[in-house]
Amino acid sequence: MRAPGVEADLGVPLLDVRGIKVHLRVADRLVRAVDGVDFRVDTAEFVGVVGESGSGKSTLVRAISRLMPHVRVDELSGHLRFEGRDILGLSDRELRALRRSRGFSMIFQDPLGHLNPTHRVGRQVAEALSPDSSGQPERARVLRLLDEVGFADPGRVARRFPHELSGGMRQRVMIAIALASDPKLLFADEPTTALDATVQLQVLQTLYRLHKERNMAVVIITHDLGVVAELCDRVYVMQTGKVVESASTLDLFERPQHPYSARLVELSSHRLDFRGGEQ
Amino acid sequence: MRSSTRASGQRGERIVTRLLTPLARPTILGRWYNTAANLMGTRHGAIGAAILLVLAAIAIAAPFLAPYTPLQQTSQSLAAPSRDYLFGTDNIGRDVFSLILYGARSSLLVGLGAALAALLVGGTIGILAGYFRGPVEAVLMRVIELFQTLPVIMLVLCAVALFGSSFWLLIAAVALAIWPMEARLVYGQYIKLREREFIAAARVADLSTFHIIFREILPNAVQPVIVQVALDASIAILIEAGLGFLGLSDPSMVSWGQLLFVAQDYMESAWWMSVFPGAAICLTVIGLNLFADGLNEVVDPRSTRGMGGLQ
Repeated sequence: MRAPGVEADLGVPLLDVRGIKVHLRVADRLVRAVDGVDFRVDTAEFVGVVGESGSGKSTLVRAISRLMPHVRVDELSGHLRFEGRDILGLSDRELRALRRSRGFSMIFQDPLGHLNPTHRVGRQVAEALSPDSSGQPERARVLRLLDEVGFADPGRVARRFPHELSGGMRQRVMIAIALASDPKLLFADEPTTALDATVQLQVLQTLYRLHKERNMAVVIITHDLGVVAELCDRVYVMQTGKVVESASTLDLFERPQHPYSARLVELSSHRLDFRGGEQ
Repeated sequence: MRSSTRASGQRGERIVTRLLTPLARPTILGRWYNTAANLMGTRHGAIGAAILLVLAAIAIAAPFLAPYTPLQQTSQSLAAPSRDYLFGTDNIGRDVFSLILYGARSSLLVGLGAALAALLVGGTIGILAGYFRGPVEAVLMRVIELFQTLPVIMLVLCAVALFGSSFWLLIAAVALAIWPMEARLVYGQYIKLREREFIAAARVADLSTFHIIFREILPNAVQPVIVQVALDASIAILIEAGLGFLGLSDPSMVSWGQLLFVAQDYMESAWWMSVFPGAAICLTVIGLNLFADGLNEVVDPRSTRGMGGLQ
C-alpha cells in the first residue's frame, strides 16, 4: 500500500472542487444529487469514491467531467478548477479540447454501450487520439495503446468488432480509448462491476499499472471497499449527495469518523488481494 | 421445421462463403459480400433473390425474349393462349406474353425508383427530425403526419389532372405516398441511437455533427432501413398497378396495372388478359417480400452470421 496523500499539497492540486452542487430535475421534482461537495485530486493520486447507490458518486464525477446525458440539470454551481483553471465557466468547445488532449477521460461500467457496434475497435481508438501527434502514424499509436492496456496481439484486436470481444477485453478497449487523449486524470465509474471476479482483478491491476507508468491520477467509483483498500491513496465516502468522510485509506480503515463509514468498513471484512503482478 | 430451415440455410451459407472467402476479409465491400452470401443461405432470401434476378433479367432482355413488340398488333384479337400466343392476345390483338415482358421494365423501374426516392426524402427528413429533435422535430413530424393522412389516390389524381400522366410523375407520386413510412423508421432509429453512450462518446471526442450523423449513427441505422426499402418497392409496385388499374398510368408505356385496367371489360370473355398480369404483379411482390424477409434475417450486425470470415 502507498503512503497516504498529504492533505496540504505543494502548489495547485490537479483537480480542486469546492462546494459543488448538482441539482437535477427528475419528472418535475428537484433532486439534490450532489449537495455542496468538496473534492480534491492531486497529481498522480489514486482516489476512491465510495457510497451506496444513489449517493451521488456518479453524478459528482459526471458533473466534474460534464458528461451528463439524459438528465435535466437544474443547478450546477460551485468552484471547479482543473490545474488551477476554472472549468465550470468553460464553453463546450474549450471543454472538449480539454477532454481531447491532456485533460481528463472517463471509463464506464458498461463498455459495450460506449462502443459503436458497427466500427472496428482500432478505428474507435483512433477517433479518440489526441491531435498533438509526435509525428507517429495513427495506426502505430493505436496499436501501442492496445498493447499498453494488455492485449497480447493488438493488431488482431484492432480488427475486431466490439461484440466479438469478452467483457474484460471490452473494458480494456475502453481504457485504451480513454488513454488515447493522454489524460492526466482518469475517472473510472464502477469499471469492474459488470465483470466476473477474475476479470475484475485483471482490469484493476491494469488500471493500477497504468496509473503508475503514466503518472496519471485516477478517481475510481466503487462499491467495493476491498478495491479501495488495495488501490487508493485517499477515499471519499458519500451519502445522500454529501461527502460524509474524507480520509486517507489507512485512516478510514483504522479510525472511521462517521458512523456510515464505520459500518462500511465493518461490512467489508472479506477482501480480495489485488497485489501481485498481472499475468 | 425451424431447425431444418436453419440447417439447410447454414449449409448453403457455407458453400457460398467458401467460394467468396478470399474477398471477404476486412473491407466494407467484404462485409456486403458476406451479407449477400449469408442472404443466399436463408431460404426466403434465396428464393426472393432468385425471383428478383429472373425478373430483372426479363426486364433487361425483354426485346430479345419477346416474340412481338408491345405495340405490334397481330391478326387475331382476344385469342386464347396457344403455341403462337403463349398468354393469348388482348382486345386489340397485342400479344399478352410480350406485353408482360415489357411491362416488367416499367413495374420494376417504378418500384425501385419510387422506393429509392422515398428513401432519399424520407431518410433525410427522418434523420433531421430524429437527430436534432426540438422544433425541427416538431415541424417535420407534423409534415410527416400530414402526408400520412392524405389519401394517396386523391393526391395522384390531382397530380395527373394537373400535369398529365408521365413516367416520372408516376414515380414521384408513388414516392410521395410511401416516404412517410421511411421517414418514421429512420426517425425512430436516430432517436434511439442518438441517446446511446457511444454517440455521447463521439460528441465528447469532438467529432463533427456531420460525421456523427453519417459515420457513427448511419451504419447502425441502415440495416432495418434496407429491409424497409425492399418492402417499399413491393408496395410501390402495388400502388403503381393500382394507378394503372384506374387508368392513371402513363399511356405511352406498358405496365401491368394498365393491362389490368384494359382487362376489366373482358374479365368474362378473355381471362388471360387479367390473370397473367395479375400473376406477374403477385410474383414480383412475393419476390420482394421474401427478399426483405431474408435480409431481415441476416443484416443484424450482432449476429455471428453477419460477420462471416471473422469468427
